Amino acid sequence: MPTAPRRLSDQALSVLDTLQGGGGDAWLYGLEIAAATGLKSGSLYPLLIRLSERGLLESRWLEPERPGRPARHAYKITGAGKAVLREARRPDEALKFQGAF
Amino acid sequence: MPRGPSFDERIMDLGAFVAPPGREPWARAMRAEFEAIGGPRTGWALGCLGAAAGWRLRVDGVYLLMFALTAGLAWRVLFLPFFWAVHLNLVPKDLQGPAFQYGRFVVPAVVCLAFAAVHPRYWTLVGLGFPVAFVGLGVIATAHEFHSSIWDVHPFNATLEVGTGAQMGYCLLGALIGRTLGSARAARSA
Repeated sequence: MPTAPRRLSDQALSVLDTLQGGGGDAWLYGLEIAAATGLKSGSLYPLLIRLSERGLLESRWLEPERPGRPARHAYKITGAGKAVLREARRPDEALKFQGAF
Repeated sequence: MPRGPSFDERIMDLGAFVAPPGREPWARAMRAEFEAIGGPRTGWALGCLGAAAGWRLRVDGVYLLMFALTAGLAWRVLFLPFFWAVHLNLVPKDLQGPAFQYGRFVVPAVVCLAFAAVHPRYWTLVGLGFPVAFVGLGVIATAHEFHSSIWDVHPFNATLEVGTGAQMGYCLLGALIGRTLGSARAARSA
Protein backbone atom coordinates (compact mmCIF):
# COMPACT_ATOMS: atom_id res chain seq x y z
CA MET A 1 0.00 0.00 0.00
CA PRO A 2 1.44 3.38 -0.90
CA THR A 3 2.55 5.50 1.99
CA ALA A 4 2.96 9.26 2.06
CA PRO A 5 6.57 10.36 2.40
CA ARG A 6 7.57 12.39 5.39
CA ARG A 7 10.28 14.24 3.55
CA LEU A 8 10.83 14.84 -0.11
CA SER A 9 14.02 15.99 -1.77
CA ASP A 10 14.13 19.19 -3.77
CA GLN A 11 14.28 17.07 -6.91
CA ALA A 12 11.16 15.13 -5.94
CA LEU A 13 9.36 18.38 -5.19
CA SER A 14 10.39 19.81 -8.55
CA VAL A 15 8.93 16.74 -10.29
CA LEU A 16 5.66 17.16 -8.39
CA ASP A 17 5.75 20.89 -9.15
CA THR A 18 6.09 20.14 -12.85
CA LEU A 19 3.22 17.66 -12.77
CA GLN A 20 1.14 20.15 -10.82
CA GLY A 21 1.73 22.84 -13.42
CA GLY A 22 -1.29 23.29 -15.64
CA GLY A 23 -3.72 22.35 -12.90
CA GLY A 24 -2.35 18.88 -12.27
CA ASP A 25 -4.69 17.16 -14.68
CA ALA A 26 -2.26 16.83 -17.54
CA TRP A 27 -0.36 13.66 -18.34
CA LEU A 28 3.33 14.38 -18.90
CA TYR A 29 5.97 12.17 -20.50
CA GLY A 30 9.34 11.45 -18.94
CA LEU A 31 11.09 13.64 -21.50
CA GLU A 32 8.84 16.57 -20.69
CA ILE A 33 9.46 16.20 -16.97
CA ALA A 34 13.20 15.89 -17.59
CA ALA A 35 13.18 19.06 -19.71
CA ALA A 36 11.19 21.01 -17.13
CA THR A 37 13.19 19.91 -14.10
CA GLY A 38 16.62 19.56 -15.64
CA LEU A 39 16.89 16.03 -14.26
CA LYS A 40 18.81 13.39 -16.20
CA SER A 41 17.21 10.05 -16.97
CA GLY A 42 19.42 8.31 -14.39
CA SER A 43 17.95 10.46 -11.61
CA LEU A 44 14.47 10.94 -12.99
CA TYR A 45 13.26 7.36 -13.27
CA PRO A 46 14.31 6.17 -9.81
CA LEU A 47 12.53 9.27 -8.53
CA LEU A 48 9.38 8.56 -10.55
CA ILE A 49 9.33 5.01 -9.21
CA ARG A 50 9.63 6.22 -5.64
CA LEU A 51 6.90 8.81 -6.07
CA SER A 52 4.69 6.25 -7.77
CA GLU A 53 5.24 3.68 -5.02
CA ARG A 54 4.31 6.31 -2.45
CA GLY A 55 1.11 7.06 -4.31
CA LEU A 56 2.10 10.64 -5.13
CA LEU A 57 1.80 10.17 -8.87
CA GLU A 58 0.02 7.78 -11.19
CA SER A 59 1.20 6.46 -14.52
CA ARG A 60 -0.33 5.01 -17.63
CA TRP A 61 0.66 3.99 -21.14
CA LEU A 62 -0.52 6.39 -23.83
CA GLU A 63 -0.90 5.45 -27.46
CA PRO A 64 1.91 6.74 -29.69
CA GLU A 65 1.38 10.04 -31.45
CA ARG A 66 2.96 8.69 -34.62
CA PRO A 67 2.38 5.20 -36.03
CA GLY A 68 5.27 2.80 -35.65
CA ARG A 69 6.42 4.36 -32.40
CA PRO A 70 6.11 2.55 -29.06
CA ALA A 71 3.44 3.54 -26.53
CA ARG A 72 4.77 6.05 -24.03
CA HIS A 73 4.56 6.08 -20.26
CA ALA A 74 2.93 9.25 -18.91
CA TYR A 75 2.59 10.58 -15.38
CA LYS A 76 0.07 12.66 -13.46
CA ILE A 77 0.11 13.94 -9.90
CA THR A 78 -2.42 12.36 -7.52
CA GLY A 79 -4.50 14.01 -4.83
CA ALA A 80 -2.03 12.76 -2.23
CA GLY A 81 0.80 14.24 -4.29
CA LYS A 82 -0.94 17.60 -4.43
CA ALA A 83 -1.48 17.53 -0.67
CA VAL A 84 2.17 16.69 0.00
CA LEU A 85 3.28 19.42 -2.37
CA ARG A 86 0.95 21.93 -0.75
CA GLU A 87 2.27 20.99 2.65
CA ALA A 88 5.89 21.21 1.53
CA ARG A 89 5.35 24.63 -0.01
CA ARG A 90 3.86 26.14 3.13
CA PRO A 91 6.33 28.79 4.29
CA ASP A 92 6.71 27.35 7.80
CA GLU A 93 7.05 23.79 6.47
CA ALA A 94 9.48 24.52 3.69
CA LEU A 95 12.50 24.02 5.92
CA LYS A 96 11.26 20.62 7.11
CA PHE A 97 10.99 19.31 3.59
CA GLN A 98 14.37 20.47 2.43
CA GLY A 99 17.13 17.90 2.09
CA ALA A 100 17.20 14.47 0.56
CA PHE A 101 15.00 11.65 1.82
CA MET B 1 21.11 -2.36 -46.58
CA PRO B 2 19.67 -3.01 -43.10
CA ARG B 3 21.32 -0.94 -40.40
CA GLY B 4 22.53 -2.58 -37.18
CA PRO B 5 21.73 -1.12 -33.78
CA SER B 6 23.52 2.12 -33.03
CA PHE B 7 25.79 2.64 -30.03
CA ASP B 8 22.95 4.38 -28.16
CA GLU B 9 20.57 1.54 -28.90
CA ARG B 10 23.09 -0.98 -27.67
CA ILE B 11 23.36 0.93 -24.39
CA MET B 12 19.57 0.87 -24.06
CA ASP B 13 19.53 -2.86 -24.82
CA LEU B 14 22.12 -3.38 -22.11
CA GLY B 15 19.99 -1.35 -19.69
CA ALA B 16 16.95 -3.52 -20.44
CA PHE B 17 19.10 -6.60 -19.93
CA VAL B 18 20.47 -5.38 -16.60
CA ALA B 19 17.12 -4.21 -15.18
CA PRO B 20 15.55 -6.74 -12.77
CA PRO B 21 12.24 -8.35 -13.84
CA GLY B 22 10.20 -6.21 -11.42
CA ARG B 23 11.39 -3.03 -13.17
CA GLU B 24 10.67 -4.23 -16.69
CA PRO B 25 7.79 -1.74 -17.29
CA TRP B 26 10.06 1.11 -16.22
CA ALA B 27 12.79 -0.08 -18.54
CA ARG B 28 10.22 -0.07 -21.35
CA ALA B 29 9.12 3.43 -20.31
CA MET B 30 12.69 4.70 -20.56
CA ARG B 31 13.08 2.99 -23.92
CA ALA B 32 9.91 4.62 -25.28
CA GLU B 33 11.22 8.07 -24.33
CA PHE B 34 14.56 7.20 -25.88
CA GLU B 35 12.76 6.38 -29.13
CA ALA B 36 10.97 9.74 -28.97
CA ILE B 37 14.16 11.82 -28.68
CA GLY B 38 14.97 13.67 -31.87
CA GLY B 39 18.53 14.79 -31.12
CA PRO B 40 21.55 13.22 -29.39
CA ARG B 41 20.54 10.34 -27.17
CA THR B 42 23.74 9.03 -25.63
CA GLY B 43 23.29 10.94 -22.36
CA TRP B 44 19.75 9.65 -21.96
CA ALA B 45 20.84 6.09 -22.74
CA LEU B 46 23.72 6.19 -20.26
CA GLY B 47 21.42 7.56 -17.55
CA CYS B 48 18.97 4.74 -18.20
CA LEU B 49 21.76 2.19 -17.95
CA GLY B 50 22.86 3.72 -14.66
CA ALA B 51 19.29 3.61 -13.30
CA ALA B 52 18.88 -0.02 -14.39
CA ALA B 53 22.20 -0.97 -12.79
CA GLY B 54 21.07 0.70 -9.57
CA TRP B 55 17.82 -1.29 -9.56
CA ARG B 56 19.74 -4.49 -10.19
CA LEU B 57 22.16 -3.78 -7.36
CA ARG B 58 19.26 -3.12 -5.00
CA VAL B 59 17.82 -6.51 -5.85
CA ASP B 60 20.97 -8.61 -6.09
CA GLY B 61 23.70 -6.38 -4.68
CA VAL B 62 24.11 -8.13 -1.33
CA TYR B 63 24.10 -11.53 -3.00
CA LEU B 64 26.70 -10.47 -5.56
CA LEU B 65 28.84 -8.77 -2.95
CA MET B 66 28.81 -11.89 -0.78
CA PHE B 67 29.67 -14.00 -3.81
CA ALA B 68 32.53 -11.72 -4.80
CA LEU B 69 33.99 -11.69 -1.29
CA THR B 70 33.55 -15.43 -0.76
CA ALA B 71 34.93 -16.26 -4.17
CA GLY B 72 37.78 -13.80 -3.73
CA LEU B 73 38.67 -15.41 -0.42
CA ALA B 74 38.35 -18.90 -1.89
CA TRP B 75 40.61 -17.88 -4.72
CA ARG B 76 43.23 -16.70 -2.25
CA VAL B 77 43.02 -20.02 -0.42
CA LEU B 78 43.16 -22.01 -3.65
CA PHE B 79 46.15 -20.00 -4.73
CA LEU B 80 48.17 -20.77 -1.58
CA PRO B 81 49.18 -24.36 -2.50
CA PHE B 82 50.60 -23.11 -5.80
CA PHE B 83 52.42 -20.30 -4.06
CA TRP B 84 53.97 -22.52 -1.40
CA ALA B 85 54.76 -25.30 -3.86
CA VAL B 86 56.84 -22.82 -5.82
CA HIS B 87 58.18 -21.00 -2.79
CA LEU B 88 59.39 -24.22 -1.10
CA ASN B 89 60.82 -25.63 -4.33
CA LEU B 90 58.43 -28.61 -4.25
CA VAL B 91 57.90 -28.18 -7.97
CA PRO B 92 60.72 -28.75 -10.48
CA LYS B 93 62.25 -25.47 -11.55
CA ASP B 94 61.04 -25.66 -15.12
CA LEU B 95 57.46 -26.17 -13.93
CA GLN B 96 57.46 -23.42 -11.33
CA GLY B 97 56.47 -20.72 -13.76
CA PRO B 98 53.52 -22.65 -15.24
CA ALA B 99 52.39 -23.78 -11.75
CA PHE B 100 52.42 -20.21 -10.51
CA GLN B 101 50.56 -18.93 -13.55
CA TYR B 102 48.08 -21.80 -13.28
CA GLY B 103 47.24 -20.77 -9.73
CA ARG B 104 47.07 -17.13 -10.58
CA PHE B 105 45.10 -17.20 -13.82
CA VAL B 106 43.51 -20.57 -14.63
CA VAL B 107 41.94 -21.38 -11.25
CA PRO B 108 40.01 -18.08 -11.02
CA ALA B 109 38.95 -18.38 -14.64
CA VAL B 110 37.52 -21.83 -13.91
CA VAL B 111 35.68 -20.47 -10.86
CA CYS B 112 34.18 -17.71 -13.01
CA LEU B 113 33.27 -20.22 -15.67
CA ALA B 114 31.47 -22.43 -13.15
CA PHE B 115 29.53 -19.54 -11.61
CA ALA B 116 28.55 -18.03 -14.96
CA ALA B 117 27.40 -21.45 -16.16
CA VAL B 118 24.97 -21.55 -13.22
CA HIS B 119 24.01 -17.86 -13.47
CA PRO B 120 24.56 -16.87 -17.13
CA ARG B 121 22.86 -13.50 -16.59
CA TYR B 122 25.60 -12.37 -14.23
CA TRP B 123 28.58 -13.28 -16.36
CA THR B 124 29.92 -9.74 -16.72
CA LEU B 125 29.44 -8.95 -13.04
CA VAL B 126 31.20 -12.18 -12.12
CA GLY B 127 33.98 -11.71 -14.63
CA LEU B 128 34.69 -8.22 -13.33
CA GLY B 129 33.63 -8.42 -9.69
CA PHE B 130 35.61 -11.54 -8.94
CA PRO B 131 39.08 -10.23 -9.87
CA VAL B 132 38.29 -6.89 -8.25
CA ALA B 133 37.43 -8.73 -5.02
CA PHE B 134 40.61 -10.78 -5.32
CA VAL B 135 42.80 -7.77 -5.88
CA GLY B 136 40.94 -5.90 -3.12
CA LEU B 137 41.58 -8.69 -0.64
CA GLY B 138 45.19 -8.80 -1.75
CA VAL B 139 45.55 -5.08 -1.14
CA ILE B 140 44.07 -5.48 2.34
CA ALA B 141 46.35 -8.43 3.09
CA THR B 142 49.46 -6.56 2.02
CA ALA B 143 48.36 -3.08 2.98
CA HIS B 144 51.72 -2.14 4.47
CA GLU B 145 53.61 -3.01 1.27
CA PHE B 146 50.93 -1.60 -0.98
CA HIS B 147 50.92 1.68 0.85
CA SER B 148 54.63 2.17 0.29
CA SER B 149 54.60 0.98 -3.34
CA ILE B 150 51.39 2.57 -4.59
CA TRP B 151 53.15 5.88 -5.17
CA ASP B 152 55.92 4.13 -7.09
CA VAL B 153 53.87 3.38 -10.21
CA HIS B 154 55.42 4.50 -13.48
CA PRO B 155 55.10 3.38 -17.11
CA PHE B 156 58.25 1.25 -17.05
CA ASN B 157 57.20 -0.72 -14.00
CA ALA B 158 53.68 -1.81 -14.84
CA THR B 159 53.86 -5.38 -13.53
CA LEU B 160 50.97 -4.88 -11.11
CA GLU B 161 48.75 -3.34 -13.76
CA VAL B 162 49.61 -5.94 -16.40
CA GLY B 163 49.07 -8.81 -13.97
CA THR B 164 45.75 -7.42 -12.79
CA GLY B 165 44.64 -6.81 -16.35
CA ALA B 166 45.57 -10.37 -17.30
CA GLN B 167 43.62 -11.73 -14.32
CA MET B 168 40.57 -9.76 -15.39
CA GLY B 169 40.98 -10.99 -18.94
CA TYR B 170 41.12 -14.62 -17.82
CA CYS B 171 38.12 -14.14 -15.52
CA LEU B 172 36.07 -12.46 -18.24
CA LEU B 173 36.98 -15.19 -20.70
CA GLY B 174 36.00 -17.87 -18.17
CA ALA B 175 32.74 -16.08 -17.41
CA LEU B 176 31.98 -15.74 -21.13
CA ILE B 177 32.52 -19.45 -21.74
CA GLY B 178 30.42 -20.21 -18.65
CA ARG B 179 27.61 -18.01 -19.91
CA THR B 180 27.66 -19.78 -23.26
CA LEU B 181 27.51 -23.18 -21.57
CA GLY B 182 24.80 -22.04 -19.15
CA SER B 183 22.66 -20.49 -21.90
CA ALA B 184 22.99 -23.63 -24.03
CA ARG B 185 21.94 -25.76 -21.06
CA ALA B 186 18.93 -23.51 -20.40
CA ALA B 187 17.94 -23.67 -24.08
CA ARG B 188 18.12 -27.47 -24.05
CA SER B 189 15.97 -27.78 -20.96
CA ALA B 190 13.38 -25.24 -22.19
